[in-house]
Amino acid sequence: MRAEPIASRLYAQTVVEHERRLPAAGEVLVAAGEQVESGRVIARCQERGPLRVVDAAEQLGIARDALPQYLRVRLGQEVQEGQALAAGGFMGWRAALAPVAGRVAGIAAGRIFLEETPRLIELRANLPGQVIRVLPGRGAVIRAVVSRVVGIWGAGGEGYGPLVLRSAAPTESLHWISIDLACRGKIVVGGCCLDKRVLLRAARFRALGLVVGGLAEHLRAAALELGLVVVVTDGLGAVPMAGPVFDLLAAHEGDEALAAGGRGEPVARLPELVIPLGAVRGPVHVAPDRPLAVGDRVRVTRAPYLGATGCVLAVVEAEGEVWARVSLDDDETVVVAYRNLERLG
Amino acid sequence: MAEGNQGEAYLLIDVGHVLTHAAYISRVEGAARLAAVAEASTTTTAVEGGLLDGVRRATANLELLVGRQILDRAGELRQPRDADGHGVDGVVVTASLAPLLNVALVGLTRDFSLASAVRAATLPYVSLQRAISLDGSGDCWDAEDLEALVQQPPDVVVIVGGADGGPVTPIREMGEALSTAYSLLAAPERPAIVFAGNERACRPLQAAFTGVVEVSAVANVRPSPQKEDLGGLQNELARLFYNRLGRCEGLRQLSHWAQVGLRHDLDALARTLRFVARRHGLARGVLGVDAGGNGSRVLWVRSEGPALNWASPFGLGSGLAALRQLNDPTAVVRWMYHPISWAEVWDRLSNIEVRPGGVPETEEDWDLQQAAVREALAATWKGALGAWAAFAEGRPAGEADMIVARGTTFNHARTPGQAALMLLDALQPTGLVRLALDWANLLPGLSGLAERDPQAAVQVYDHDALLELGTVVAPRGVLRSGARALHARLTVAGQARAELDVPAGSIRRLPLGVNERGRLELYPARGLDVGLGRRGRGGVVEVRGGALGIIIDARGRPLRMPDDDEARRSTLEAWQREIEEP
Repeated sequence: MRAEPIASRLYAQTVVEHERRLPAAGEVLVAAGEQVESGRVIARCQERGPLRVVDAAEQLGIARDALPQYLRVRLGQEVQEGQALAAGGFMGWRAALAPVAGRVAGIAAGRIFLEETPRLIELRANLPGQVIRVLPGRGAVIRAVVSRVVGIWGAGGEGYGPLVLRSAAPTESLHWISIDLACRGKIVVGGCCLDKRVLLRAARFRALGLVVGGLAEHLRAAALELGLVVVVTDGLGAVPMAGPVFDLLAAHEGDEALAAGGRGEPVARLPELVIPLGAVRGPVHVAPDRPLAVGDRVRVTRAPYLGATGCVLAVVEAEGEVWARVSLDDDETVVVAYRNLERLG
Repeated sequence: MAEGNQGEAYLLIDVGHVLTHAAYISRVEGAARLAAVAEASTTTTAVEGGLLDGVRRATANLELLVGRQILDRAGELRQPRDADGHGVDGVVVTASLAPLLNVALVGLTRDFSLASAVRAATLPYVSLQRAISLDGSGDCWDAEDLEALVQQPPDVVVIVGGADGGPVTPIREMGEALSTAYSLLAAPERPAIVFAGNERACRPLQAAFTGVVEVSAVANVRPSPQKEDLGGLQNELARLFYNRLGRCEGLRQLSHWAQVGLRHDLDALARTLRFVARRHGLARGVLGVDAGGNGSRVLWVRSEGPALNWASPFGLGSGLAALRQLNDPTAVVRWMYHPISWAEVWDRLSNIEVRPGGVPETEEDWDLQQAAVREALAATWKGALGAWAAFAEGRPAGEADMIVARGTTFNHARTPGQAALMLLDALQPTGLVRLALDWANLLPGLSGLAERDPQAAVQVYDHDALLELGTVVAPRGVLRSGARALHARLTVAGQARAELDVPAGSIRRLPLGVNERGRLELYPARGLDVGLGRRGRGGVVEVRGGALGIIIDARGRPLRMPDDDEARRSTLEAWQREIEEP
């Protein structure tokens, strides 16, 4: 069996093509070639409101085909919550009322179909860069030179703001008290998060996002519930952030970044943290997927060395299996199944 | 793949959620045999190059093993096989990745037309989203049902109802309301509508949907209260499923590359298992078990009648999330003999969930993985038994003569004993049951191969497809631990091979090799039923051997484990040890 190509989880400098897509067809406000800032609205649409069915004939106690005689609204009419849609009986004392504000979208078989008022959705670029492609009626693709960390789990949509470190070392857990008002509008970086109060405080102080090496498994539900943007880079549980990832984020403290939980888009994506690089420093590294090679920085993804990082000393293919000899950062040399390794850089 | 002429070499590809398997079939002295199998990680994202990348990698791995080129330099298939033996004459592609067809059934009467529609829609590639009966609400819609059908539109809405020649109005009104609701959706979001009811109501129904969606009409599933006709609806659902399969970008690309139509693996597996049931004369049928990454599936196929399937979200990759949502912290831990806290167990499982491609490297991790399989399969099995009760025709649902397991966890188990014990613990079969592994992931592909070259498919099945683990004797009932549960005597070719007493609460094995047959005399204790008529009744049965011979599982049914953690762990460890002891 051959060693399979592996995508890197860490890019110090690379090019991303960030696709931004509306959940429904709408209007695109940018053109290919345009430079956009992160806050620029690039597309907008009206999201259809949910359908509500009012069984008017049943409520009025009339035959289904008799409903048109009792209608107080017409097709396409906007109605307010509580407005009478149809009424009958003496002085119209029996009425079918609109349960929500919306539009009369259909009348059939004794029922009135109401479509709730649509919601305006504005899609922001969320990443400064150049529009390289317009997705007609749907959005655009923005190209930028960035540093990029690909996460293993995420929550929430996207948040763009400055990075702020709240752990002194990649092994240090975030402490709830370190999440304060200064985190408002920022992306908080920490070694790992094992305390629910960290999430609650981050939500309360309106942090834009949280990037951690490890997140306690039971906190995933809380992160999703709070709607917080969370990017977990290394593992679930008390897993520290990989040294190279932490060093990269520390070097960019104060810089603006895009934290994407991967769940806010119409199609789920990998969670990631993307730091736009204003000017290109040195050659742009577009690391293609490739098999691991001697000297590669790697992270172990399975017990007993889960979360440990090191360098590949050798890749061995034998008896249908592929293994790698890895020198871990604590100087221990171990043999790890190839499938239990991730490339960092 | 063109039908008719026999080929010299075939490639079978099975694309799963985590791994893509490739098998190379070639002729050896005139008979088709499995030459090699290989696998690679399934690639799905556009960055990785879509499904084709994983398929090419698996095929390239196969090339290393067989010493033949199957792909050309551009990564395209070499077809047909040339004089030097490079290339293949045919390809079969099966995929479990294909999303199931979400179907909603709407009928006038729950006990007649809707019941028939449910039976018709019990197909391996159909997920029954909801079955709505209008008989409880005066033949008209509940507002909530209509709203749900619009908020989460299924792929297909099947409308049934009325005997042929019956009243038309209820069907027409049903259609008018549904048509108005779906007219509010954008055209691509509207589901296909299939009508399989009163033939007189067909035109009025089609008129109700004019301009919204085309209604395809098939034979009434219940033309009269005494008559049922499921074929028309089943054919239409198959057509819709495979049409949609052809529109999935990744699968379409793969189909184009292989120059063949794709088959859903469960559909293909059902066909092969039907053949297995008939070939071996298995009256109670075959149970197919597949523990996958994002869910588990069980399939019960008898010689005749529908192939019943049940899919659950409990799996060993992303499907671990469903196990966690059971909100039972002991769910997996109860099957582990290593002392790990439940918090640690769920941390580790969560990491497996987000990185399903990894492999266990420690004893603890193996134990954890196998415990998760037991839990996932047991939960799936429970759901299946409930769902199948209506189809069992008075017999216990799911009781089969043979269990065939598929999936990496079974095929990569370190010993056959571990694979067998996972099955016994999770499914708890009773009576006499043969256990086998689809060790090379061949079974789905063989049904496709059979269409091109039936003789080759049968030859491969007979020689290479299954790893027979052995025959299990599992008495139903419970005895005091340590009491004599069973006396067994095995005779092979007229010679006594082995004889033993099996204590309750334990597992014992009798030696009977692969392809060996023997006569097994069984004398159960008074409280136990080995499936020979009633409790305590013994007898003589013909048995087939396997890698583990005859497995006597006298642990009792239902399986009971000590409440005390330490005692439970030592019991589990003892069972692990006993199944490995020859």
